[in-house]
Amino acid sequence: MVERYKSQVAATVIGMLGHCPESEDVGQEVFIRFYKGLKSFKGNSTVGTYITRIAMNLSLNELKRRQREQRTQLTDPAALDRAVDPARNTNFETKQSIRGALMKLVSEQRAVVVLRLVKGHSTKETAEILKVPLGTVLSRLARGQQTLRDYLTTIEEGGAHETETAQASVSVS
Amino acid sequence: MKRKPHKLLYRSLDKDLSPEEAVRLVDALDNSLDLEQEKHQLLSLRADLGTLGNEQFSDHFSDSVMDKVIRMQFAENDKVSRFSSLSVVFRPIALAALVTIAALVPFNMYIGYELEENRTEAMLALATDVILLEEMP
Repeated sequence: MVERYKSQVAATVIGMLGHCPESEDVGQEVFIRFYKGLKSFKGNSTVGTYITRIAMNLSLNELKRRQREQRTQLTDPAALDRAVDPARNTNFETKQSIRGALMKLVSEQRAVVVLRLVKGHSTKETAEILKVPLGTVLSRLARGQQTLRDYLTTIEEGGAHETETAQASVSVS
Repeated sequence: MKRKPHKLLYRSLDKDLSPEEAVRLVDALDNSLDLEQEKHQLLSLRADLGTLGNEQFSDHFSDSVMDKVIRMQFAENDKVSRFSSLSVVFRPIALAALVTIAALVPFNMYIGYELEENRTEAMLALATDVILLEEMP
């Protein structure tokens, strides 16, 4: 069971929390919760959906805990540096910059984006996992994509500006 | 008015549009380079997000989970065995008490019947007479 579903859990948990030690702990907790709740599993949804729901709930709890501790949401500062600092990263379409941008989203939007666009669930499944109406999923998805696009565009423009400045300084020297 | 084609564009990526809406979107895309560019950016963004789906935990992840499950099972079994050892100790005492009660109740009922006392009180071996203390002379 662990072997079969660990990739699904990893995509959800790492998508929500980023690469950090807590992700692994939350991932383990997902399977422990699943094991404990096995008797109450009625089979109304598939095992994959059930496990993804546990993973999403625990990830959202972890994000709330981080907010309480007023920690930064981005747990991989190097990823943010690469995403934000154009001098270090000339290719803004890399996984790191996308991941960094994803961490900029508020948790509700991030949850929808991770389930729909990272994990590839349908909008209906996403609504089922998060227990929110379909319209809410669509609006959060639109706002999330808009934020991601704006953020990545800003980085790209910043990067282009840095490159131009660098080229100008080279030609002057 | 400006946001409407954008909304249609975002919706079109996750939901089927009505034929009328689809025509409106196509018209808007034909007439706006910005919108066309936004569409390409969105499709590119969605494709990039899709590549994040193959994240993996560390190699020892499954072993760690199984270790935790086994430890949990041991803890549960330990609780159960403590409870069962307690029940083993107290079971003879409880049985003896039950047998005593079962023997005393009919006996008391019989005595009560013989003495024509209230049956319930006799059954429970309760005192029926009020004891008055004599006044001191």
